[in-house]
Amino acid sequence: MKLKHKEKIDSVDVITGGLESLGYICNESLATAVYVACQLEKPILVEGPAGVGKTELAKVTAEYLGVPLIRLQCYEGLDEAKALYEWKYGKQLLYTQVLKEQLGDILRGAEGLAESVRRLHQFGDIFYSKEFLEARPLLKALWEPNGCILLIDEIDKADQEFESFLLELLSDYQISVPEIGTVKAVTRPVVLLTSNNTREIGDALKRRCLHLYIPFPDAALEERIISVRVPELAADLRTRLVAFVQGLRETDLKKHPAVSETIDWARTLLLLHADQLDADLVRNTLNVLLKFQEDVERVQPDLWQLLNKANR
Amino acid sequence: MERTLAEFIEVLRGADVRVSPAEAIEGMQVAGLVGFESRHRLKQGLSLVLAKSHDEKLRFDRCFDDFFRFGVQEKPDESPRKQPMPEQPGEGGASSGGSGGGLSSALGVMLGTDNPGEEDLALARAAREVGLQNIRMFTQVGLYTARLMQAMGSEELDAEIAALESREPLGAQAWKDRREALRARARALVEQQMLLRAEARGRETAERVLPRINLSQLEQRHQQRMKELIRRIAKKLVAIHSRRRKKARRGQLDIRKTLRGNAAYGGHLFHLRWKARRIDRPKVFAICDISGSVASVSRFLMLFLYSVREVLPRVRVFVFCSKLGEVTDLFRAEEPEVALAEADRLYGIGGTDYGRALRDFEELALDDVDNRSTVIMLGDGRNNYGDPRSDIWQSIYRRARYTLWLNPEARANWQLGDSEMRRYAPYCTRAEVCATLRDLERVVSRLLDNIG
Repeated sequence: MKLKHKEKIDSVDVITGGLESLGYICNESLATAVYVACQLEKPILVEGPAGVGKTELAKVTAEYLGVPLIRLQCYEGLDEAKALYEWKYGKQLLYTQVLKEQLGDILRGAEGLAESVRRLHQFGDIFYSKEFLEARPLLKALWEPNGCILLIDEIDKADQEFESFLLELLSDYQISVPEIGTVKAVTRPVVLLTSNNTREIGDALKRRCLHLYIPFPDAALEERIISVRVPELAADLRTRLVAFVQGLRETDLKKHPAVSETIDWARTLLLLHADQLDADLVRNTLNVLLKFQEDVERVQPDLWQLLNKANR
Repeated sequence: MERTLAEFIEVLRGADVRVSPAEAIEGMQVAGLVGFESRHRLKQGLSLVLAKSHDEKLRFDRCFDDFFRFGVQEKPDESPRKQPMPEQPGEGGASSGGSGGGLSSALGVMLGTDNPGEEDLALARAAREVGLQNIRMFTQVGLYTARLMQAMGSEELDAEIAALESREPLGAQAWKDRREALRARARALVEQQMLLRAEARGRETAERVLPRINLSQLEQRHQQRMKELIRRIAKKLVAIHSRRRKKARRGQLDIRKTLRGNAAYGGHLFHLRWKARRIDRPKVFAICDISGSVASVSRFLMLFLYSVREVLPRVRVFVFCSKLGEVTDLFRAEEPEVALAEADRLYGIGGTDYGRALRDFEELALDDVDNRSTVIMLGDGRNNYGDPRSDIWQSIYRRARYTLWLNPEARANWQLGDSEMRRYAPYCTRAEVCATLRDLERVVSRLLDNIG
């Protein structure tokens, strides 16, 4: 990637520091991934449980590198027209209406059909040119003059066909549009794909990407994240809160609380002016952490135990 | 360094982490990029390009830790040394190594300078020389250790120590200790390599051979590995068939879809939509003989069907010896192991009686068999000379879209003894031999293809 500030991707440590200054605490493997991706110009496929900061990584990286973030949210039924380009049909129609009179002038005096068609051919495919092309995220990313971060979010939600469609983009940073030919990237973007693993991603796609797995953070890292994100929270409450969440992750739940939930909970406690974790408070705010009623019910009986462990 | 990485990649492949040549090249690039200074960082960098799923990452971590335990790195001093050096002989040893009886052979000089990093490198070099990566068996450890020592020049060292011993017994002892320490490290290296390679090789062989072995001949100790294999094959099949396929009906315009699709263009029809038909997954009735002779094959068929339930949800399983019963719900509720045992306990009694089993099936489920159903019968058709009731099988054949008879016996035996295959076979869309895992895979794969 062509960058204004090349020194920003000089080494893993520089990237770690840079992301940290923007409030994104990452471990070394994340920074290594970003570093390698920038240097080798390869896309990163980020996997991991929901809410560990996969999408956030793309946002922060874009901010850090000072380039725009172009995001493509995947869903079932996503097709080329939504992801790549579309013809501006309305504009095409309007122009043909406006140019109708002109057309009369041009064709005046032409002898026979063949002559008329020949004259029309002189104008080429004006209606299928770049001016009438509505660029969607993928094409936009390729046209971005100074590079960008292209975030293809939740690729597992898209159909398998779409995955294959992406292969050309991911390996050669180019895309074929039948009417105007192959579009090559002006500056190669940094591509991040995220997946929540609702289905297995194809091998062909995986082969073209760096594969990064972001697990739930350990206690120390999570504490640092909270301290940066919710700095107002008292240190000892923070330790307990993190210990409690870590304890929850060890229990057998339908959905474990992620970092984003821990942050939300920390904010909630701050709002309630809590200065310690007591059973009532936790019980009343448990729905911030757990998003399924059956999980809440499952945790209730063990609440004391979990709290004791966390308060120790 | 490339060589070491290539070896590492080979070990990874052995541990069932799939690394393509392109990924191997990327591995080299990444290694060049992040450098070898930090072991931790190298591990993370390589893990990015070489291991592409969470499972693979775990295996990668284990392999990396094992493989790079001996710091075969360009800056070996920084490599963490997990192998503890045995105690150095006290004063005497140091002085004899340093000044008094300095040895002149290459190995002697190296031992004298006491540089563990250099020893690591020498060990790695020697390992390459003697082809340590070819070690297969545990019994070869001694042999390879000796070869390793030899390649490092232990013969010269031995001679020198012997010579020294006559002059200076105390100093010689110190050298002997050092030699032993080195030998211990060489042995540890050999053992580690043996574990890394032999395990992978054993598994490869088993995976090549097991699918072709007759299921009823399978030994108990292979059961676990078979289950693993079935799981893997099933996963592959699920991946291939997880897309719902549509088959276009040529030339039939879908008016409703076309109008809807072109609404944006003010009613001008730009994109035509054609009618398509979804290809439905078949409704499967599996009837399994679980009497002694066929039980093992039945078990695996049931396990297989259970493993692909994601893409083949409408499977009903029936088992019989003489009495027939449905165990579909059992499989849904319990782990396959438990379900199999329970099915065996409930219905695995009495002598084989196909007539009674078919009668039970007629009562239980014949009404549900329709022209979208596939009925699979797995059994040897040996009815102990009882009434085969092939008329019921015939009526199943008439109703179902497809009937399949899987017989673990060789085709030649179908006509012998109490086998009733000649009565059943005419009413099967297909009757075939199914005795190995490969046969099973073929059958299930065809089911999913819905060709039949």
